[in-house]
Amino acid sequence: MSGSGVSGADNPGDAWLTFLRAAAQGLGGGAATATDAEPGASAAADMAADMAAVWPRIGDAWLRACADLPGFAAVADADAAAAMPPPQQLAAPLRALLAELAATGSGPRDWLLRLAADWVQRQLGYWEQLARADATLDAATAAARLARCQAARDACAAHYAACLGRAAAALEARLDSAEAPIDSLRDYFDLWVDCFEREHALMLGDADFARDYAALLNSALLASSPVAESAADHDG
Amino acid sequence: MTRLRLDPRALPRELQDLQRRLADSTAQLPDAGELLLGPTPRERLLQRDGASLYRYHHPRPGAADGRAEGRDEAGAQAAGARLRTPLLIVYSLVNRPYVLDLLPGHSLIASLLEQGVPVYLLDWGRPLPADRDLGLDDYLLDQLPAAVAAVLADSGADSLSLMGICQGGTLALCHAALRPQPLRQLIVVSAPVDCRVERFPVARLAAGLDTAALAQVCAQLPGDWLRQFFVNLKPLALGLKKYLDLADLQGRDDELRLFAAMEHWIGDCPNLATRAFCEFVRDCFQRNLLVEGGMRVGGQAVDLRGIRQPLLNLVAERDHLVPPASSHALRGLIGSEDYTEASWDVGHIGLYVSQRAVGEVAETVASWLRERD
Repeated sequence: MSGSGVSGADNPGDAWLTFLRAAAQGLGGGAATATDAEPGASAAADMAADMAAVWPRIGDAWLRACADLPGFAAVADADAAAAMPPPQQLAAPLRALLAELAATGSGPRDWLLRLAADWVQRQLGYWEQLARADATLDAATAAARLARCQAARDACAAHYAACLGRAAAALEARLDSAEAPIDSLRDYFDLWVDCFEREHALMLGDADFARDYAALLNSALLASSPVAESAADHDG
Repeated sequence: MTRLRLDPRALPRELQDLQRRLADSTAQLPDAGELLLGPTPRERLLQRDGASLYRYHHPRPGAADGRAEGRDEAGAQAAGARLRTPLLIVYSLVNRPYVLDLLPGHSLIASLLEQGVPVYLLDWGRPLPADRDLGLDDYLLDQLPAAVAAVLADSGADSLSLMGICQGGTLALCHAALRPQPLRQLIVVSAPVDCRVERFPVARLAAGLDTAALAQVCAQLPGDWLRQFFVNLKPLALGLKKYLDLADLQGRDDELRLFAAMEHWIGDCPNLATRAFCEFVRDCFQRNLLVEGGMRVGGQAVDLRGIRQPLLNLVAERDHLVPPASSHALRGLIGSEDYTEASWDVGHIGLYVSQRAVGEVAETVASWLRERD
């Protein structure tokens, strides 16, 4: 008799946490050392390219916000590393972002929009990459399936763009009507996520979005199949 | 006039502090191997086509690691008389049922045992590619009846209570309509029932799925696709903010353990048998047959009006996966006049993971069962 003792082998959640811990070491936190043998470390390494997107995005969120604020650039230029020492492999891209933002002068709201847009594009991209997953199909069938998937992805992206616009307007309204001043980046970020998720939930209930999203899933799932040809290839 | 008042001079300190706390929290996250997932002792009574039936035992009081063996009389005596009627739990085909016994202090199963409820669990297992043709009839007319018979044989009881959670609630309703005997009571938790209610994004998005094409081309629905689908329901909150919020868990060991356990569980999304998935999507999400009538499993009609057992319907009022209205719709659809609802101000998983809710839910369930035992 025993408890249900669950294996963590090949579990993306575990690999994800292993990656987070490794990232934490890079950020100077905790007592773990680089030589610690983490269970699932090889799986984490395999997924690192994908997972690494989260830390830079969190970093992006803060650094972009800081860099865009009047007067902050000078502080950030001098003390960016001290303010937020990034993992070694992320330092260069983050500095590049700071430079880009200093050049464009876009406001915090704009980069929050970009952050969210990047993120939802990434979510949509998950489905699109499925369409590239099977290399055994003949070229014409594969191309047709991929095209159908990309068209559906574009349709969904348009919905997301509109959703982001509404969320941005909601953020402005919330900032205008806030009872207390928003004086922390964290509160600002949380407010943005709340505005976005409210609009996103409304979008999920929209019949047109549901139709286009279903088309994306249908085309992605079909495209990822090794079946050479099916009735679905000939249906709308 | 905007109330945004970010002070550039204060931001480096805020960033530095956030960064330090994020780094510390993530470094303190336990590894999956350290988590003692599924701490409650259990025995497998039956294994059939990948599914397993377990009987759970209350750990001996004072057991340090939560794994000591022993029948559940000791704990039951502390909470009151042990119920005569065993409770069989069935979970969703999506995700794994160990979320019901996730960690010490976060276990609905352990809490039920403490209340004197004899607990059995049917784990549907992980379908293999060869199981693509497993359908709802296999689950409802073969595996579940076999588990029911095994529970009766093991317990010596002549009837049992059935508890279905999430999609398992819908399956439990179907089973109760198809095989009313020997069910004594029925409990459903966060169960999707009416799929035409407003703000039901899962049903709305599933409405356009081409189930005929999926059944043709997919041997299995990969669990990773489903995981991605669920994250996409709240992309920034679940994909970004959740990890940023880790910074607030620095030094809070129990919450860090729960975070790591939940990440493990969310990542542990089994593949689904294509036929069963497509049948459920088509009949429930697309045609809403459970409510509107006409659902058939294995050629047999599923009529909720045939459910005459006492029924307890537990609802999470902040459920973003199964909107409360969908579950509340069960009132009036069944034949039983003994219908009870209870709800909590938690999200979908909160009913069986939240430390506060788990105790209250177990107490509510045990009390309701005891009145009808």
